[in-house]
Order: sequence, then structure tokens, then C-alpha cells
Amino acid sequence: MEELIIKYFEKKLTDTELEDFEKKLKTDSHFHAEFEFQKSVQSALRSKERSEIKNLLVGFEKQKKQNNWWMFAAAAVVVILGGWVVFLQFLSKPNPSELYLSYYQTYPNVIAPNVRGESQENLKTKAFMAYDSGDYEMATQLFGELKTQISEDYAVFYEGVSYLEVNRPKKTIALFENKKFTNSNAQFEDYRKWYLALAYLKTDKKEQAVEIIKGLSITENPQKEQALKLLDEI
Amino acid sequence: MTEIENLKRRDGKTLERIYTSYRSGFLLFASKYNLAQEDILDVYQDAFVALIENAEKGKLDGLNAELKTYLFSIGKYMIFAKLRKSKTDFVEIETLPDGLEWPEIDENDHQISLLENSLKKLGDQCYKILRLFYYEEKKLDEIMELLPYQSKDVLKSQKARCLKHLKEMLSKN
Repeated sequence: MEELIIKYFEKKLTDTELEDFEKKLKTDSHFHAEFEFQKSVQSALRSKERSEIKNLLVGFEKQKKQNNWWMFAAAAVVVILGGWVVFLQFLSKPNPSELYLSYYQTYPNVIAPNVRGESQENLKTKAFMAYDSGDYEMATQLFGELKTQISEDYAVFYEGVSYLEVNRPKKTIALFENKKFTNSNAQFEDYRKWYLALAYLKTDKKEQAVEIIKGLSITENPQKEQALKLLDEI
Repeated sequence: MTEIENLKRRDGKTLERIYTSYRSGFLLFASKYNLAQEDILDVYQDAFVALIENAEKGKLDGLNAELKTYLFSIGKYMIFAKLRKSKTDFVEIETLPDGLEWPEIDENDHQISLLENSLKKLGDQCYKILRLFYYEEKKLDEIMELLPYQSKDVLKSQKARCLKHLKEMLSKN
């Protein structure tokens, strides 16, 4: 009996065996049941194997989704961060120290241009030599000394600017708040205000700085343009 | 190792590579037919399962056409079968590529699902024999070459014992 069923599954039944097989299916209920059972075993095996393969494929889909999820998440993070940076740049004003850095320029020596080979080394030329060579520490001392000897405004002015150069804006403020350069070159007065404002910025005293810059922005002076621009950014 | 051999041993990387490389092409191809979107992916997966099953049965051995051709033909066959089931109007009959098979399984057959569960509890050796004989449809002589049995009779009686064991498990349900 088993032999016929094996041959059926092996597809090896001869014509006469096939006849025999079909006859038995109809007449032998035990044979019929055994054959049906083995057919069911075959179907169950197929079903089991198929779902195992399908699970692998579903796994690939999940991986795909996970990959997509990560890609979307990563893209979202990039967009959000990028947007945040742009947003900050749009909305946030630079801080006062940054403004100071972008607006500060050393005031040029307009008083005593050093001439090569000039031998006469008085205090004034020494001070401006220090200033021109970038030795502002020395310049603060020499201009401080000079202002006691002469009454001209430039000594205090360059002393104050030198203090800014060596990052001591409080000294500059002390010097410039109490002095007005009204009796000499009018430009010094405008620049005194300008550097005073920058010194306030440097010390994070935005209100005082704004007040001075406003003043500079409504009067005719060499720094009017700069003052307007700075006012806009502050 | 050839692509078919890798398919037969269900090598994960091979399967994933083939599965992903034809996926979007198949979904596009299948979208020509009036099938629900969720059905299309289902058909693709079934076609892929059928491709592997046929490979494991040795039906792809010695065939020279590209896997893609088989996959798409099987898929088309399945799309038409689905359309025939869901529609009353005439749908032409599409055939599987020559030599390939996709035997239907009666999903409502309770005995089959009980047997499927019992198969999970069957010992390794029994499962191997039954899988080779009924799923891969190997002849006993061929199984003799794959499994260490001294004689065909020993293999035959082992197979009979495995079936008996399954029957016993089934009767306990």
C-alpha cells in the first residue's frame, strides 16, 4: 500500500499502477485516508515553508521602513537645526562684544606722523611711535605722561584709544566721560563719542552705548553712517 | 556559488538584494492592473516565495532565463488569479512559466493548520526527511544521497515512523 503512495508522490506510477492506485482510492477507505493524510502533510509542509520565507521578506520591508524612518528623522533633524540657525541669525542681534569687534578700528595717528631717521625723540614722538608700532601698553603710559605736560586734546584722546587697544575699556570710559574735546579739532570730539560708545559696548553697557550712538546718528559727523548702521544692528 | 544555490539555501543577503532590486519595478508593473495597493505588495511577496520554493524544488536548475523574468511571470500569473477571484467579468488565464509550479493550499482546511503546528514539534531528522520528500519533492533515491541512511528500506521505515508520529500528535489535539 505504502509503495503505491510513495510512487505517486515520486511521480513514478506506471499506467497499470495508476489504475490500481485509482481503484484503491475508491474501494479502500484505509488507503484513501492514508493518501489524504499524506497530501495534508505535504500541504502543511508547503504552508510552513512558505510562511518562513514570507517572514524573511516581511523582515526586509521592516528594515526598509526602519531605514526610511532613520533617514526621515535625520533629515528632519538637519532641517530643524538649519532652520534654527537661520532663525537665530534673523532674529538675534549680535551681542555687544561682537558689535564692538566689527566696528572698532584703531584711530590713525593724525598728529605726529613718524619720519624715518628723525632723531628728535621727545615724549610726543615716542608716544606716537609706540602707538604706530602697536605697542599700545607703552602708548597708554606715554600719552598719560604727555597729557600732564600739554593741554592739547590729542594726548587724552590717544591715551583713551590705546586703553581700548589693550582691552581696558573702563579706563577709556573714565577718560572720555570726563573730557570734552571742544576746544580743538572738532573731529576728536566726534570720535571721542564714538570710541566711548564702543567702550560701553565692550563692557556690555548697551544702554549707554545706544544713547551716544543715537546722538552721533542725528548730527553731521564723520561717523554718522557707521552710527546709523550700528544702531540698526544693536 | 551560483545565484540559484544561494536562493536555495535562503542566504539572507542574496534574498534581500534580489528582493529589493526588483521590488519597485514590480510594483510599477503591477500598478497597470486594477488591484488594491496593499494587494500589490502581497502579490510581489507571494511571487518571491514561489520563486524560492521552485528553486528549492530544483525547478530553476539548468534554466537560463533571468530570475527577474521568472519573478515577473509568476507575479503576473498571481495578479490574474487574484483578478479572476475578485471580478465577475472575463479575465484571461495567465500561465506559470514552463516547469514551474505553485500548488494552492486550502487555507480553510483545519487539518492542515493542525499538522503545521505538529510539524514544528517534530524532531529535526523527521522534519528533514518529510521536507525533502513532500516539499522539495525529492525521490527516496535522491534523499538517500543527502541523508546518512544505510539503505532505502531504512529510510522508508524511518519516513513511515515520522508520519506515524505526526498522526499520533494530531490525535492528541
